[in-house]
Amino acid sequence: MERLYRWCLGLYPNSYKQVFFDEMLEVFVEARIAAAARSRWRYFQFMFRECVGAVGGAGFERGRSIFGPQFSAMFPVGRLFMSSATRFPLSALVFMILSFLAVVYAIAQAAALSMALPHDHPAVALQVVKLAMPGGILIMFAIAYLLGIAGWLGVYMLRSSGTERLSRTETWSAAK
Amino acid sequence: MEPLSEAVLFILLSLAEQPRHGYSILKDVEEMSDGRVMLSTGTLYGALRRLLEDHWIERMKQQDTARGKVAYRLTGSGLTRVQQEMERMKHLTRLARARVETKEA
Repeated sequence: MERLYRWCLGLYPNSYKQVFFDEMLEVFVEARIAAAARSRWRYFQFMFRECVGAVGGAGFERGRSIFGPQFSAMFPVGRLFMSSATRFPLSALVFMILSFLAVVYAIAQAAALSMALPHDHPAVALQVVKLAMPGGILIMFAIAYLLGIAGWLGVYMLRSSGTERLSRTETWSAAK
Repeated sequence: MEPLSEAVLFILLSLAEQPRHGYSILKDVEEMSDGRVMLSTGTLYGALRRLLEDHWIERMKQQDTARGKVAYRLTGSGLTRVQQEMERMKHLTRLARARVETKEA
């Protein structure tokens, strides 16, 4: 686990690592021992929070090293806005069904167009359409739905781990 | 002046009591918030870096530990900022109380 965390810390810019790498690792090791003494679930939550925190922090510091101190103001990072996102909204389901119908309709239109327009190799074009309709599309959407559910689970776990409760950690004022 | 975020306020309050090293801050913040705010190491050090840049805190070597851990302490401007935040919260509380009492009356 320490190796995994080291890898996460490796994502930080060099200038940041020079100052904080050893210290962060030391704190992580101490906190890991304490988390492991509690329960397996707590330990899992802890590891999840630490890895997400380190990767997110690294991304933020990378952005900051490229765009400068204004980067924080450009993107609302440092906080995960999930108060309502942790609930799976009904509107998303409706939107996904509409998207699915739109894609099926577009493919049907493309098939009709493919038949109507003169071209040299109609078999090739039609073959692609045949492969995509309808089983291929269903599989594609099933994968997308599964990924969506996995993402939602990730968000839910972040929420239950306490990460989402952290508000922004910026300290600057607008005047700066 | 923007209000301080909860995480930053907890970190500053933790350091207002005494200088602390990273793990001690994590534990203290968790304790102060009754387990509601659990900082990850990445989040904590991101905040510490910004607080250092703003000169609200400073680094120091803790002499009382064998390994000479790096600790952080609140600076004068950091303390001033915490006091300003306290004033802001007091004002907000007074205002809220007055409005609620008016409503109840």
